[in-house]
Amino acid sequence: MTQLDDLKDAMHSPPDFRPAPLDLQHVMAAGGSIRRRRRLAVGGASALAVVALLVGGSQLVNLGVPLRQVPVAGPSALPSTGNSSAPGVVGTIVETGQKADGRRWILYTETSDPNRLERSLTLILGTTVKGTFDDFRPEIVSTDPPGADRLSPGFHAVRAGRLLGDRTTPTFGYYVGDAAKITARDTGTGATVAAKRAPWTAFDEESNTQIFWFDFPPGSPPATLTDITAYDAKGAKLHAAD
Amino acid sequence: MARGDADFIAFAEASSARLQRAAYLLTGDQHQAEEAAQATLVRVYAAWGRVRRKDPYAYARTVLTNLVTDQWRRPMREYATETMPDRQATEDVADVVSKRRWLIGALQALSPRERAVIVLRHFFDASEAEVSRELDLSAGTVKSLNSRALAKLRITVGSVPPLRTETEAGAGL
Repeated sequence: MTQLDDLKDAMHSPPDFRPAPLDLQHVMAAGGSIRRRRRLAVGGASALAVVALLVGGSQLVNLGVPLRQVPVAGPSALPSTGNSSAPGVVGTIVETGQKADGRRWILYTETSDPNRLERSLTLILGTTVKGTFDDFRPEIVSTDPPGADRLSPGFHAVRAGRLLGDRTTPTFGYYVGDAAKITARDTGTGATVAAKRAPWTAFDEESNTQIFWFDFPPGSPPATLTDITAYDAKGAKLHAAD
Repeated sequence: MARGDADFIAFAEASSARLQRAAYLLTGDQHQAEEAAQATLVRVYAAWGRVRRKDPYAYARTVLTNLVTDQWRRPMREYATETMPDRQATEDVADVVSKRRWLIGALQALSPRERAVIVLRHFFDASEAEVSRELDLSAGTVKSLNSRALAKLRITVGSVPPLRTETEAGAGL
């Protein structure tokens, strides 16, 4: 037997410790309550009303042009960190496919209270080289105003693209609802541009939240976008915000 | 009873004691250990639909570690001591229970990060990569914390003369 085996033996049979009986009734009641709360938070039905949003100070209005389907950027999403139940990074980490200064742009979420994502969810545009949490470098932190329900149907934490030093950042945000496509209008060219999207989940597979961002060619000035709109699979406009 | 509840009940009953033991190693407090293990199972049940077909025990391990280490992980704080409990005299080494007690005491004297690495690596048998991910530390940090903690515990990895059992000790004495 090695000394390491002795340590393992001691850890598996610590003297002076007796496990308490399991209170299964309490565990299942409390766990079920968390489940229901999360479903309520993320499962609201989408309405058809479109509400103006502010992106970078520009008033957004409805968009009435033909739209093209955009595939969800699922394959580019890193493995979910939804098993984290501590404050910090939570849920899916999304690769945008763009780089700056040798670091990959990523989008991810953090929370200060895993039990109250609807009040604490924060979207972050950051960069990474290794893809591990200790290597994440936040660049832009975006949240809804204090008191807002951050998991209500519609757009959330939308930030306009801008220049950070000599680096171009995308317009990005997240959408709660069953959007099949998200588009905006480039005020410079008048063209309708489609967002890239990645499904986002934290704890439950039932989440219908997605992180989106618009292309942001490195070195080019960020496009000024307006009229951000979500559409369902049949092309109908979806709820924009409460 | 919701779908999958029977599976969860079987899982909870099978893993509760082990989770409590791990929480006790991490916290050094029986009451905190019971609470942490119960809170872990609550979270596992809340996510059961997603984790039941994967590796619910690994998920529970991660949740438990996050719950217990939450107090020190952001920002990292170290309260490590270089002064470890005195090891027993030679004749006490034969006492398995005494040795276990010394090791658990020494474990509690480690810094929280060192203790978490030791528990994850050598109680849960998690890989260095898994520990790195779960504690949000680089692989190099995990490796060095593990080495430093084992050194503090006076543990060398390799064979040593077999420890006499209590029976042997009794016969020998």
